Amino acid sequence: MRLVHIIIRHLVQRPVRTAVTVICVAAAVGGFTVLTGLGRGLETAWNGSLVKQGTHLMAHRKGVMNLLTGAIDERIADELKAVEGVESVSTELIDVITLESGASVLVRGWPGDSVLWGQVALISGRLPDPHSRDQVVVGEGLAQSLDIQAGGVLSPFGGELRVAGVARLDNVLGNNSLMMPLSGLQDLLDRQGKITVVHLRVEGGDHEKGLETARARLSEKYPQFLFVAAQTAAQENELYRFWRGMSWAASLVGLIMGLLIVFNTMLVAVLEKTREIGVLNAVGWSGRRIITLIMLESLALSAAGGLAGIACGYLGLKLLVLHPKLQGFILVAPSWSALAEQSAVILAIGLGAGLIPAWRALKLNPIDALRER
Amino acid sequence: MQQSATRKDSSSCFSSLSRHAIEFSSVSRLYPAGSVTALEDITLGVRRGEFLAVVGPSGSGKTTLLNLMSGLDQPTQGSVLINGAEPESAVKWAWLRARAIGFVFQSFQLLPAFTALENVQIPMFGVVKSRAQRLDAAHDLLHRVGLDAKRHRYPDELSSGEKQRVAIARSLANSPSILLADEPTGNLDSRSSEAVMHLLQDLSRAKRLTLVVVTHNHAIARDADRVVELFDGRIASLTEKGGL
Repeated sequence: MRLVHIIIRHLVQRPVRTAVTVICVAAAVGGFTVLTGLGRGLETAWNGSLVKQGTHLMAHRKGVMNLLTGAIDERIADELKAVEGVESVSTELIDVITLESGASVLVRGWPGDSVLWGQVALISGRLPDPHSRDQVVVGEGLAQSLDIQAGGVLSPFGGELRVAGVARLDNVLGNNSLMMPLSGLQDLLDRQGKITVVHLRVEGGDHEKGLETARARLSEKYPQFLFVAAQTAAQENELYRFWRGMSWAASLVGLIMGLLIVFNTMLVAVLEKTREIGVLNAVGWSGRRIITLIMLESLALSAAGGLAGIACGYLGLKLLVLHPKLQGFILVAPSWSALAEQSAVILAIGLGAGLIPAWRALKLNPIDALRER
Repeated sequence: MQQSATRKDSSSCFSSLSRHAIEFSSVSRLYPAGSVTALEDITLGVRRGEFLAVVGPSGSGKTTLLNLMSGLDQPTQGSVLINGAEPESAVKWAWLRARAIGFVFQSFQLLPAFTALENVQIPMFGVVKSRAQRLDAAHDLLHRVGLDAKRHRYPDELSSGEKQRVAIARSLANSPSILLADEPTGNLDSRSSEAVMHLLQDLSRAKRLTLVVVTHNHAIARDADRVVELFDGRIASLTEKGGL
């Protein structure tokens, strides 16, 4: 017999209470996994897509919380091109439109000569006519989920967009978005002459030092804009930060509930096992060993619930991102940092919940404990 | 008269510390709630390897004496020495209970969720490192108390006599030098009582254990090397074998 057998025996001894506690912790950790996973998935999808399409720095208007509502005069591109160290500039208008089917779709408008078109590898059809107002290329993932092919028609709020081609892109956002000539999208959104962001490639931009130099130079010259590195674009976005803060706060409430439930279970267990603790004391178990027993039991509950929560959370995330409103915006992939975060949460619940019950067990008078019925 | 004989005997015992497994020096135990004096000014030496019976009416302080001997309780005055040294902390007492002091309770105090074999292994945690050694030792102890065949039974599947035999096996788990038994036959019928006491005495003789038994049973006390009689928390008499 090992210590772990004693712990398992204790947990199995009260199956309903153990099961309820595990389910509650699973719900708390599952909620945490989903909420933080959505944020991390968005971050991975966005940053990864920017890096893969070759962006070094992304510029957008300062003080705008929602990136998509920002409006920059498209003529800024020519000015930026002239700045020392800037290799290329690509303007982009981005927005989310809702199709009549109910699906929310990311739509991106690029000038006909933009280098961004270079990442579009056609699977079928052709690229849109640069002067067209209603032709789009659909990313492969989006085409599959909308079940549409080249030659098909999409209907955003009463208008019509013709699918010129279906393309495969090397990034998740591109693969799940519509791409069309900038002028066409400006007309569609009634935002003539406006863009949302500017993508820049800069000299030495593949290295941190070169990137920082260019960023500092551009920030000084254009203080009205925020220049963010592609690798950290999501983290520097105000809306994303706000959303992440909200999701952490909501997760925290769930986690505190989970902790309280484990705490309550362990406290009741210590009260119920008063006599047993007295016996352990009488046969020579040290206070440290008794504390270890209680803490490990608390950790076992937390770990069982936590692992189930992580598994359910990932499953939930996978199902959630299949929803038409979210598809293509979020990339769900397990990561070491997420696992470390989740492990820390499980550990915190287990240790936090077991501390006071263990202390109570330690403080039990062995003689009174042995008299307990 | 008897009291003075006791004091004389105790003081002579203290002249040779190495002879004593347990030494009480002017020990008192006062319970603050209600200001009850459970034991008052007890000076007593328990010789190594002897069988000491503690008798007396209910409330005379027998169990308190045993609790103080095991460190489950602490004196409000005086000192308790085990094998010539005074354990100065709860940690030290726990260490002693794990290695040097075995305890048998009247109500067995077996853990109901664990089998006889597992109950015997419980005290070995932290003392016997190897799982296989713990298992072998538990098997051996249950064999010695005649419960080989019932080692996988849970306490509620055993008779009272069998439970007490498991408790005895558990008390011997870490080969203690002192065995304390608090009315070990108190919950047993006369046949089981006799069997349990024979077992306790045989095992303690075989291992040269110091055996202290609290009992109401005069037949048990008759077998003891010495008998301490408590009355109202004081030693009323201390009698050598044959004196009863």
